[in-house]
Amino acid sequence: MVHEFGVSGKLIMNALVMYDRETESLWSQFLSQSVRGELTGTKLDIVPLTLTTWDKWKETHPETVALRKGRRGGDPYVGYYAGRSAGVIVESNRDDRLETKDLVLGLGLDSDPVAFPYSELRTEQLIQLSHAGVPTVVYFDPETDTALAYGAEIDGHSLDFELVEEDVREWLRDSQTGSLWVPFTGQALRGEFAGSALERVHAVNVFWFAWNDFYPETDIWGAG
Amino acid sequence: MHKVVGIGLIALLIRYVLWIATAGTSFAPQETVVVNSNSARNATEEKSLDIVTLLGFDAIPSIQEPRFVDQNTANETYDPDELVLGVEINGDARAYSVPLLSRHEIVNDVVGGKPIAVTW
Repeated sequence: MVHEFGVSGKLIMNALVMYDRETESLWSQFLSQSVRGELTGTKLDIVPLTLTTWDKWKETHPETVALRKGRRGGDPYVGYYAGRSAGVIVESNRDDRLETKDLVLGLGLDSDPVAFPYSELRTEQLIQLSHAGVPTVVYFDPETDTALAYGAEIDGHSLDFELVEEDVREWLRDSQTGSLWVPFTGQALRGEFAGSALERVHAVNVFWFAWNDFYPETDIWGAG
Repeated sequence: MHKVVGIGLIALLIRYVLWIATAGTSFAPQETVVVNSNSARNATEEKSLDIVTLLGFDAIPSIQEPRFVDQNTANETYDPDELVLGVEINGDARAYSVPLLSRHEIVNDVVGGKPIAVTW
């Protein structure tokens, strides 16, 4: 069943609440499910997106098209991104382990939430972990502040990665076969795995206060 | 199959702050709903959430019929460092300007044959 969504003008913990035009049920963006109305409890599938710069997206997706827009108009939230305020209705759960507006990659929407602070990712850049029993790799590009998570396995075989530079490009190289993978797309272009692709793991790019409002029990990578 | 949704950075909305300021009140209607949260370690735990009403439906207009341009045309209006949400499904790659998403919050689209909502 296909729904068309509009902006409800409501917020849950400062995050977008959508409504579908057919039933006017309300849907939480963060929880990706309906929370009020006829469709309450219905969940949406989640499609991984990449938050990055236009330049980097073009470079890694040469066939891309772009949403048409006028020349005019910057982002109305520029001041908000840089400021200290926590949304409109402030935090539900104040947690001083990180600064309110620190950016984190939030992993584990279904279980075992972990926040990876961008400050930590800038120094580590590639993190291999077992998350909720699944081999997982987190990649960060410090040039564009792009944070991505992949399942570190192909056909049930787990892979260990390191970052290498070859032909003036950055690659993930697995220690099992030495295949080279493109960090931004998860596709292997060289080696035994050429033609395979890592699957993205659902993770969100989000302010710390928003993540810990929804996941107060979250762990923080690199803390303690 | 239900429509899928892509989530970008959760944009927490200064627009609403401005609205409250002009309305001269910091009190907004509020209701509470209980959901079966999948966010807790205990998957069956129920969680109560406050829904705060700041604006009416469609006060911020979502995009229903998005139109796309090729890279060369986009280069005229997209800065190289401009943030975008990118998605690729079945070889169909699209970029959505974050500054534009900030003004619309939701783009209803079909990408690679799959209906999705891109949200910010």
